[in-house]
Amino acid sequence: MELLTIDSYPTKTYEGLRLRPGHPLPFGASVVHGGVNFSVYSRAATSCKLALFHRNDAEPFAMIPFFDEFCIGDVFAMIVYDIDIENVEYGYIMDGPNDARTGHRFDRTKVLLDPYAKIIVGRDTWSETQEGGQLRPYRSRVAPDDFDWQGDRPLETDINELIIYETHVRGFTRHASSGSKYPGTFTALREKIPYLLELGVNCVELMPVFEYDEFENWRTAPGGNGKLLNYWGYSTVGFFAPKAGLAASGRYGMQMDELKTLVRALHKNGLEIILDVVFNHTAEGNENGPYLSFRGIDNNVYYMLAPNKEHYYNFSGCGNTLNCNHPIVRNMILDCLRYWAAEYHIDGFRFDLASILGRNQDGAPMTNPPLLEELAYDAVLGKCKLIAEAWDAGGMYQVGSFPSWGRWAEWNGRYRDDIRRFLKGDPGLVWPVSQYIAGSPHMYDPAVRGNCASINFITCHDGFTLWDLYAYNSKQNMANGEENNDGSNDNHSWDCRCEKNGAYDEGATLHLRKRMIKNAFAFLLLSRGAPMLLAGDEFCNTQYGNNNAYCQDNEISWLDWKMLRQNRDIFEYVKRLIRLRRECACLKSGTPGGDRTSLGYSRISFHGERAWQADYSGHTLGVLYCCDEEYVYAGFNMHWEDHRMELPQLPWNRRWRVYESSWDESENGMEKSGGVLVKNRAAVILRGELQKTGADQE
Amino acid sequence: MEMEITREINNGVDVLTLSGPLDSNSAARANDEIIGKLKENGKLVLDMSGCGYVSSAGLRVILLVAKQSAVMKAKAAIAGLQSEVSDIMEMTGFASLLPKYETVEEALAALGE
Repeated sequence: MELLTIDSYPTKTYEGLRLRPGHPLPFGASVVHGGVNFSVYSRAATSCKLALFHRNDAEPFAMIPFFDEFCIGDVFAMIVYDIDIENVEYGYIMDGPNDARTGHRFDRTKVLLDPYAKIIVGRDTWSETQEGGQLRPYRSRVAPDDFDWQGDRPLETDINELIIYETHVRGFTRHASSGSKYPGTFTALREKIPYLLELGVNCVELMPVFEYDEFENWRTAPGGNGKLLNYWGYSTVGFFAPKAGLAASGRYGMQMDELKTLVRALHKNGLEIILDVVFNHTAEGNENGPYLSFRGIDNNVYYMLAPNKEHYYNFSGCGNTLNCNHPIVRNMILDCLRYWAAEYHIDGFRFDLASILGRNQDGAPMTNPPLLEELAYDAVLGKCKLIAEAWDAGGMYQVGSFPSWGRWAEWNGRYRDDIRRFLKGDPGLVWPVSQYIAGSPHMYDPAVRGNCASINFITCHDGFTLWDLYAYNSKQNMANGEENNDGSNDNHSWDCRCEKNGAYDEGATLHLRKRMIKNAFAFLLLSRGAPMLLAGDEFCNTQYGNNNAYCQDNEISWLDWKMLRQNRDIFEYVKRLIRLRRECACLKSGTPGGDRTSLGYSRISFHGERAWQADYSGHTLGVLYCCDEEYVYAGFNMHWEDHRMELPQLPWNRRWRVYESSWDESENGMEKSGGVLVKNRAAVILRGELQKTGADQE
Repeated sequence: MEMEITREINNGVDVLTLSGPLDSNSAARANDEIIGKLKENGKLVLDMSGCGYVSSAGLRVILLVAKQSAVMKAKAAIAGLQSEVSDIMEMTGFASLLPKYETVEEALAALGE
């Protein structure tokens, strides 16, 4: 071995392996000259061993103790030389007190995952088991942090320009109709980039891609047909490792390269990537759950424990709660996000049940949670989007009040609920809806939170798809095996069933459903704030009324691309609205130039059946968006009767022209008197176009 | 299984045949051999028809060959990729690094142009 520096030589030999004291930082396994630096934290462990395995072996070929001279502070650190990183897996064995009354649960019979493992093996191919149905134990692998980025860097798209498309990596392309060569993988998603470009979105938000266990709490589906798996993946096994089972190359251990290749390709095409990250709990569950890593490394540090120390606080609804504001855990979360931002070029993060990140170690909400503040000001994350799901399962609901430091945006759950109610025809919502369209300034003071604190959505992975929102009155979750008790009951959905002479009218029902879907897209894409679309809604994808498909790794969840052909009209409509939003500066969230245009028009103003007179008691709302060169008017009539809406007067050289209508295109409703007839439960969008002068006409 | 590397010169072009897996065991040797020949001759075809597996380290050899040949303004090509190896390269973004041909003859013809 060539020695490059004076401290790159072994100082000890143990069972034929050459060792030396390691570097305590960074944590995890890092490739160094001639070997690998292993570093792991535990305050309460009395000893630690490194277990090394040949690839796929059940038994280790070496168990190397961290000798006293390899420990500094609470860190065990050693360099092991001559390791073939492609063919070696590793884990840690920690010893220490095991007394639930003190919160310590050390177990020296368990081989634990490295909390900083960059590759995790054990579920290399999605839902594959060993012979006899056994699951492989998880092991960590060492990975070099190299990639041929070809000059790529995060795009740093202005959040005011963002149009987010939320999807599940597997569900997006797993269905046979997707026609993918490697269905359900990062590679297949990459192959769909032309589709995303055609649609016009500029950001993909991926449901969890950190390693999770699809077999966690798996059970047989009702009727014995197949397995119910943890399909969504909101249960992290390893925070630094991409899920191998979502990579076509996972069985070769190349998931890092595959995901980075996806990121590079997205960026080349102007698409950002946001990851849905789950730091509120881990896959180890409660006191009856498995030992994967944290429980056996330092249970007291990593988890919020009840005062009796025996039980886990459960603010996540998933058995345990990560102790996010413990300094060690806080650092791990920071290290993790910095790693994804720096090594994977991720553009932003959406934090699942983010309110948990604002609880102290006793579970109480904090006024200035240090973790959230650190994330807001972190140097490496400085340009990353930070998006909170601003509630948790412990009763905290912070939509509108999430600590932000001017940096955090929020999934606006109130937008979703009120827009749904307005769409359905509920009364008393015109004023709040006008505020949502304006970027929700009634919730987010623009002076403090900017113009884009609100991530607007009407549907997301959690709940009905847009088609189902207008095809079902209530959830249809029997397939989840929980007697239809899971999933929200508060959906504000409506099956749109129409009758004629007492009989079901299929044609009218379908027409109404499609109108409602188009209306929803009109609200979403003409509201300030960043819109988020649920993948498949643009072609009426259905989950057959299942509003909580977390366990459905089958046709219920997978996007059925045949629907794209069948509902091309909806797809084309959504495309046109996205194009309008991207073209028209007046529709963007952060319109510069003060409150008024040079001709004195408000940048955004609200109207009713009479122009300039909004009627906040009804079901109709007209919105005029202006900047110096553009005028867009949207007339929303959520009433069950037609309404004539007077159009605001344009400058002399422009006239209104219908751009899109959720009713049939042939009936654009323009009236000579300067109004537009907006049919019942419909939206009409007009542009103020420059009139041809007499000379032009000749 | 060990990798065997054999060399043949065809019309002034080096044809290196890699037989066996290109993985962490063979990567360093393959890298030295390929880069060495590339420096010597400036024109090289990698015949990979006998290579059934390329690991992460193996892919990095191919990447380095591509980078090196670009720097040296040399010409390198791959011939006879097995389908599984071709799949791995496609999934991990290594597919477009070097021109690929079905056979050595096709690669030689292309390099001779």
